[in-house]
Amino acid sequence: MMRTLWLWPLLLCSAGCVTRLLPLRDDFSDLPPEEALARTIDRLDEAYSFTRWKQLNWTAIHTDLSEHLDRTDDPDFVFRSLAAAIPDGHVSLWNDDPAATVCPEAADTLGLRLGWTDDAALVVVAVDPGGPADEVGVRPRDRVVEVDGARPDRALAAAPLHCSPKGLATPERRRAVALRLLGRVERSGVRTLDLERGGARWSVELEGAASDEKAAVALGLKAASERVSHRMWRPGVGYLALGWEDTVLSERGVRRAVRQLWDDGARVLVLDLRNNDGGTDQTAANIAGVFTDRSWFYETITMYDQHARTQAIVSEVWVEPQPVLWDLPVVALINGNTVSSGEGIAMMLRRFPNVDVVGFEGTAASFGSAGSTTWLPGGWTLSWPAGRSLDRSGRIQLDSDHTGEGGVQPTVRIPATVEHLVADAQQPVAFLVDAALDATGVAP
Amino acid sequence: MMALICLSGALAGEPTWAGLRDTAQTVGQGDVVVRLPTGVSSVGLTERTELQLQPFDLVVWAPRVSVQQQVAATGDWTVAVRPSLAGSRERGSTRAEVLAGWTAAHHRLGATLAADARWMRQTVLGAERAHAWSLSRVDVPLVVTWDWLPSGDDGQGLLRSRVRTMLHDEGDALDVAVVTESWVHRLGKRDRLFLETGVSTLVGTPSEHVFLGDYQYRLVMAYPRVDLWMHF
Repeated sequence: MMRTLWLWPLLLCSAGCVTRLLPLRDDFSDLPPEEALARTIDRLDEAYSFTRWKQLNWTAIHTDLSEHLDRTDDPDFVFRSLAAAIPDGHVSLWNDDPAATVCPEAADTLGLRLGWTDDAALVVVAVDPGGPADEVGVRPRDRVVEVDGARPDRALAAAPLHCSPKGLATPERRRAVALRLLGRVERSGVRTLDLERGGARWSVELEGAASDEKAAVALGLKAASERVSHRMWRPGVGYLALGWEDTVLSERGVRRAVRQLWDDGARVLVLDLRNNDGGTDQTAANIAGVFTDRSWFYETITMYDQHARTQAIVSEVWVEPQPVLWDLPVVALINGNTVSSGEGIAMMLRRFPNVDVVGFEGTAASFGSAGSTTWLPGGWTLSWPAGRSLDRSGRIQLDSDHTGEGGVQPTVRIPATVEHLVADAQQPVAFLVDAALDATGVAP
Repeated sequence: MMALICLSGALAGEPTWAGLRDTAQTVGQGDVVVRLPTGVSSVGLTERTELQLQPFDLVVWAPRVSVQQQVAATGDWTVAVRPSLAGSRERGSTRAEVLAGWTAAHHRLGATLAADARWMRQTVLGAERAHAWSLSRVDVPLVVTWDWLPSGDDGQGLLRSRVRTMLHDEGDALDVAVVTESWVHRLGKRDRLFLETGVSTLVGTPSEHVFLGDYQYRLVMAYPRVDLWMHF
């Protein structure tokens, strides 16, 4: 009898006194595509975190996509287009079948990468040795004056952005992916480029070649390597690359690395947050805490409450001082693939007096609570955020609004010149480190 | 919701309720209250001063020493202050509490307001390596208790209702409260063994890094409460 009484509270709990604000899970994979599309959009309309913030019109999106589905009977295109219609880096779409993840409009590579300069020029920044572009003599620094007969800005606007496996939250992000897409064509497709070099102008016809790159890597949405590392960059300067593994797993690893670099003589730290695609909020806050000696408000987290059908406050996160304080200059590097908690770290570092945030561009402007999942027909899975991050006054922070503004902007912006873009393509880690040290003048 | 266990003990001395936690009263001079290992044990230094020892404070992972001093005892009212200190090599906590209590024949009301400053010993990597104690965070919890003594002070038990919430809590959710309902019973031949049994309910959304390691839960969660102590 006594034992039974002791168990009462626990039994009551298991009977339902724990209510969960979990990410949503919907399985529409067995439904016809039309119905799956409709129910997915209904769900997004109900629970997606930023419908009003981004001024999304779900009715218009549904009408557009269902008409396309009626016309073409191409659900793959429609599901891709749905993901692309949501300007949010926390929206992602993938397929169980690796072959299906290859977007037909961008299946083959032309063997080049393009860049967009601050003075609105489209230039070749890298050429794959032995690739189609290399074989016809295209070289880095060549200026592209026309793409398939269209002006560069129009070619960029016409790029098949639905091929992006992630939502694109800012105009900068959309342009970056469009630039990658101009370097790709459909299977065995052909693209004509009008090029200019040293005043001479000529035209090349490039035929696509097979590529085994994953879509996210091919479109520049993910670094090819995510290794975490720290090392002395040069005397007096330590370098710590914070890949996603660190954010998720190892605030202690960051503290250890910082101690080690100091012991090795570093008095300036380069903290590389490029391509950091996030992790847990508190760990990110604790990593930021290594660089401050006081508490800072980080965020209020909200999550969609299915019962109340509204966003409910879940918790607050603060940056607190950590057992190790790096009380010396920091140069933090960001790019458009710095996303989620990676952006959170950058957001806090930007407020600290001893930190310069440096990059070509701002971060991904995607900071909501990711992880709600919808399974769709054809092996597709759509992931999207049902939670928000709010600042101290209760406003959405970092996620881009309806104008596309959001994210963390660099305090020191490296100009996108031809030389800089080419150098960055050739030395994807080293160039920006050295450029940032030069630009900030903090290195000994 | 309440579980009662019958125990018995034979201990000497006069029975009082002064060993109850979260009251402004202090145990008598020379009296000793011993609790289970992680609880707060006390010794009365004078009629108005009580030394308290908590072997293991779960927040800073270190022992805590407190001194509770009655500063006013007028009629039904008692007011006390309780400074305390807990610390290890890496973490520390300095806490100041004000306790107020009002007593009537069958009822006692109590309130405890605390300001808890937590400290951390940081390794500062600057031009030179240094160590410094830095203020990590400040919490301001409030505890309100209501004790109902059905048979008055001389009775065998009391019903305690207790609410603990945070008025200010850096780093944790602001909407968490712990509500406790318990029965405190004196046992033994001379009523010197006390057993508090009941249930506590956590209501709200606890911070991810303190409780569940995940921010996806909202809790309304009950758990049993047992507190066994002896008054010598």
